[in-house]
Parts: sequence; structure tokens; C-alpha cells
Amino acid sequence: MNAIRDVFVENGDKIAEALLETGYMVIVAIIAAVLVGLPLGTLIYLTRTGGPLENRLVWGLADLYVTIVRSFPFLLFVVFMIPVTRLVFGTTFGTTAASFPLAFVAVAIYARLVEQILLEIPPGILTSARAMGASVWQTVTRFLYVESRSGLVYALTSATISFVSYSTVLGVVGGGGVGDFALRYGYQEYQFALMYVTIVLIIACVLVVQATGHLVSRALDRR
Amino acid sequence: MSLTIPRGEIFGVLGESGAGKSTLLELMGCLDHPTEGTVVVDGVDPATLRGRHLNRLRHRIGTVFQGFNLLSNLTVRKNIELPLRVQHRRDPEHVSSLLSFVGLEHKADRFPAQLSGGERQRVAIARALVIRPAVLLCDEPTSALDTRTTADILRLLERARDELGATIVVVTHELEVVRAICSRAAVFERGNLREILEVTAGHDAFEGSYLEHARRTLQDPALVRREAS
Repeated sequence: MNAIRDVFVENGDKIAEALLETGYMVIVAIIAAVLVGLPLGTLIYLTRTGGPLENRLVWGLADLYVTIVRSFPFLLFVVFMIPVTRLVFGTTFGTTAASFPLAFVAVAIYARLVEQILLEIPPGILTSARAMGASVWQTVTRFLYVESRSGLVYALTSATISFVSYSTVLGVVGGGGVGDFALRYGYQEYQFALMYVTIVLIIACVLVVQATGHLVSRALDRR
Repeated sequence: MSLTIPRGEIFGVLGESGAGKSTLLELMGCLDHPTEGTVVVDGVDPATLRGRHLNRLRHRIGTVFQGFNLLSNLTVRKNIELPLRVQHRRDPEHVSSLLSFVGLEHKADRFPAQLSGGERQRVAIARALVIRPAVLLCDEPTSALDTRTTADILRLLERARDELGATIVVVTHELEVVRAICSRAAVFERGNLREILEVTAGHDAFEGSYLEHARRTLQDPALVRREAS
């Protein structure tokens, strides 16, 4: 117990900084997932064969992006994105620059989840939207998203937890974060108490995210 | 095939599954185009329309689906309002009067999962009627319901025609339903319209107690009369 207390006394500020770095990267990932991933997943759903906006070219490109980025080993993807990152940010180092490749992956991850969730909506809902003379925008916002809202929230929770895990890898390019902290100051400095405390901290944060997502998703679900 | 349904008629469409009834309903609902021939709905040919204009025609048609197709995350009231919102309109008084019309005022803030099959069907009917449609299309509106509930629903449809002036098309495989409220019925077999029948049998199919209903359906009326005397 004393060892644990000492860990906090000696490294408290560094742990706090690492937590903020992780939080920053994960929040960027969530924003990217919602602002770009959600529309992209919806687009894949709408343009699929038999969908309301059937379009093989658009579907093909969107689906290809999602498939490739999701299959790419993340660390290699970060390396692969170095030239683009440098172009946009002038550097590849630091939390902001590190969030750049994570955003691309976050978009792909959430887009695929969104597509899956939309595919589970009973086709009768789409039919009734058409019969009511709803536009595509109305169909998506007033029918599809309403019916699947709890699923979409739950999937975002699940994706967020993945983002936390991915952010650990970003320590390699100077992104910082709790995972990197645990590795460098804990494991590589033989300070195992520090390492384990930090890991427990990460898991605790993830549990809070999971519980929150679960609660919100349940509250939204009236089915 | 040629088929004309005048305004204010309650018209039946009969046939076994796969006989072509759903296709006819889709054509009437402007959800599909015929490969040959023309469809005219409320004076307009939907094949001549696209996009927004097609949607505007659909705004005049109410559909009651076999599976209800209610949004389970919306309350009864919000479900009924939905077609109005799609048309960028609001009419809370009309929604409330429809809730009374279908007898669900006290359940307006419940969710479909909390309702019985008959209640969900009534929500679906109210939702179809909220836009004051010229045409009301019903796909198997009573197939999932018991006799008592069916009688209630059929009475609702008749009131919709009488009080709101809608032309109603009822697709069903239940002969008794057609006999109860339709004046004519088209009979489909294997994708073809065979004949349009006038409904001359009495419209009393669903009146009286369940026992009387069972007697009427299962026993020869001549026999029943002889027994009574």
C-alpha cells in the first residue's frame, strides 16, 4: 500500500499530465468519429446495392477506405501517415500531431460500426419513410437515427475504448499519454509499482466510460 | 387489367400470399412503377414525377402496414405526428382528436413496446390518417388481430371513410373482412387480376357476440333458422 501511495506522491503531476494527453487524443478521436465517421457509415449504408441512394462508385470508395484503414496495423499506419502529418502540422511529434492518424482510424472504426447498426434496422421502417414521402435527409434523421440511437451510442462507447488502447501506441511518436507513461517511466525504468498503478488507472477510466455509455444507451432505448 | 376505384369507396384486394396484392399496393402507394400500363392516383400519374414532386404526391396517401412499422423509440403521439413533421407541418389539435378517434388518448405518451397488437394497429391507422389522406392503403390491417379487435379496427376504417371522406383500399386474405366493409373486391390469383366481385353478402360478419360470429361462419344459416323454430 505504501508503495502505491509513494507512486502518487512522487509522480502525481506527471500522471495527471499523461492522463490529460490521453484524454486529448481520445476526445479528438471521438469528435472525428462523430463528425466524419457517422456520416461516412451512413453514406455506405445509403449507397449500398438496394439502398435508397444506390451508387456503386461512391459505395466502393467509401467502403474501400474503411476496409483498408481498419486492416492497416496501426503503428505502421502512423508511420505511413508521417509525410501527411508533417505537411499539415509541420511536425510529427507531440499530442496534436499524434492525434492526426488516430482521427483517420477513428473515422474508419466508427463508420463500420454505424453501417452495421443501420443494417439491423427493420426494412419496414425505410418503407414507411418512403411511403410518407420523406426526403433522404428526413429518412436518416427522423427515422434511421431515431430507431438506432441507442445502438449508435453504445457503439461509440465501444469505439472510444478502442481509441484509448490505440492512443498508447502513439507514445512512440511523442504523443504522450498514460500508456506511453506506463511503458517509459514504469516498465523501462523498472518502476513496476508505477506501471501497475498507471494501468489500473487506465482500466478505471475505461470502466467509467463503459458504464456511462451503457447508461445513456439504455436510457435512449424504448424498444 | 383495368381497375378504377371511385372516391369514397372501400375497396378490397383479395388473394393468397404471392398473388400480387403487395405489388398492387406498392403501385398505388407510388413506391414502384409498372413495367407496362399506367397508374393514376388522385388524378396524377406517379410515373411522371420525380424527387420532391413524387414525395408531394405521397403526402396525400396514407398507408397502414402489415407490421405496423411504428418507430419504437417514439411515443404514440410522436409516431402519429411523424407524417406531419415530414411535411413540415404541426397540428397538435388534430393529433389529439385522432388520438380520441382511435381511443388512445390515455396512452399518448406510452411507447409502442408497451402496447398490445390492437393498440399498435390503431396507432398505425391514426398515423396514416393524420395527413387527411385522399387515399388510405391498408395492408392486412387485421391479420395479426383477434376477432373482437378486428371488429373495432374495421369500424374505425368505416368511420374514416364516413367522417374524413377517405377512399380506402384494403389488401387482405380474410374474406370476412372484405365482406364486412368493402363494396367491391378484386381477386388476384398468381399475379393476375381474375375478377372484381361485388360484395352482396350481408355486412354483418363481425356483429354480435363471438358465439354468434362462430355460428354464422361455421354453420349453415338455413340450419340455424330451423333450429331456432
